[in-house]
Amino acid sequence: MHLQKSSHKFWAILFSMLALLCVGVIALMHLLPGGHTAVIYKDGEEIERISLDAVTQSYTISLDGNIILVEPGRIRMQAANCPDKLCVHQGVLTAQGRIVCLPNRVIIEMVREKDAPDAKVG
Amino acid sequence: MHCMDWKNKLLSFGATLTVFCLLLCGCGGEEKQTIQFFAMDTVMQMTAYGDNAQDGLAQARDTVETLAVMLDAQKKDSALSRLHSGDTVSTFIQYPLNMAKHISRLTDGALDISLYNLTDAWGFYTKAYRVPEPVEIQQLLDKKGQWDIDGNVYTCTEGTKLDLGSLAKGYAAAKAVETLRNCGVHSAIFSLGGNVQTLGQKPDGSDWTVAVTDPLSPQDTVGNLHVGECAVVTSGSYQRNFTRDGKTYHHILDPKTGCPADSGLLSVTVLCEDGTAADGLSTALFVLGAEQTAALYKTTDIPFEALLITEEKEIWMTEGLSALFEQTNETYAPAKILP
Repeated sequence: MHLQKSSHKFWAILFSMLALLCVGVIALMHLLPGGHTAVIYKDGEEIERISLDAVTQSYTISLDGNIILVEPGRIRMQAANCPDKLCVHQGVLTAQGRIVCLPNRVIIEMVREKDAPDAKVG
Repeated sequence: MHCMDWKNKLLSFGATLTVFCLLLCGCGGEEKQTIQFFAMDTVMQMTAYGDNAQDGLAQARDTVETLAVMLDAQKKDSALSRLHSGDTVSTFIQYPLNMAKHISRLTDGALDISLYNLTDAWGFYTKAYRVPEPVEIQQLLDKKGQWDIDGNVYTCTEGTKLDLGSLAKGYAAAKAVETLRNCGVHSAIFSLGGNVQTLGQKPDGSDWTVAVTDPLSPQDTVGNLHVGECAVVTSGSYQRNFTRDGKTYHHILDPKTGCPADSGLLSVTVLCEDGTAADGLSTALFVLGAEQTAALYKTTDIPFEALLITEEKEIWMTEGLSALFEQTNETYAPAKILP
């Protein structure tokens, strides 16, 4: 009887640990950025499209008046010559969203891959 | 005993929860693999889903690279070039050659793969672009020669030189899909230098979304095609061209004039089950123009759909495409069905 009790306890602990682990993995999968593409627009024209998951080394893109920092899985406005610097203060984009520098008409937009077409013909 | 019951229930609840969680973990979507490489003077991108994706893609890349070497018109020792020294036609080359012959007959010669010397005279191989004199063009047209294929026997008149560039990418894509399928992959999409080829449906069972390039602003798109397994290929004057004395000359030569085709179209996008046919037809339809495409659509023995964009900024589509095309670009008039 004593033996059976402790084996129950063993299984109970094992199951609950596995369950916790799984919940953790699922949560992580949803939190981690995946399949994200950043699109940079200047004056309404698309000038750059970057698959952020494919970025392994950080680099910057200099536009007239703005410097954009591209990092693995994330992107931000590093510097801008606009008066309010709202775009710089907006910080890092890691998920769907956009950073807009209105004075310089620059937009950084993060799109999830599932909303983008699977391929472009032409 | 009562206590034991309660513990058992708790345990089975725990077990169920664990199994459920494990299942959920496994449902994170089929694994997606993408490779990118250079071949046929362009960027090849292939994405495949599922367990065998990685192995399948490696083999599919092999297929494309092997065909790229075999079909290279500019290499003297490629299987294509060796045809002219009397080699029998390997099975790999028979298919695109037969397709070229078929489409050429179907379109009254609008597709002609024997324009190598003309294309060369315009400088499209070396990128040393020039506008040949009309006399030179006429001479090259006169001696471009004729060819035929019957089984594995290739015959041609003196001076014939072939270029399979108008079908090679489409053919390579179709063969690569075959390779992937043999590797047990059921879902994949390629873009071989802008030639799109799909395998099966998307992993969630939905259609693929293929955006069509805006010929007037190639970084933009005119709309999306929602397709299952097929090839989607565009031929457009924006793809390769040069400007001399204010005039722009593009790379799709009209076999009748020896000059860049002037049919009033900016681009033709063809949707077809057969990748080789899609590629060859897009070139042929670009030469033919809207009116003759409409006529061909009614009589063709190779089923296809097409989206034509004209210099007048009109979008014409064949009947079967109306349910698949969703226009997103409003600088063009709403797409109309080709009469």
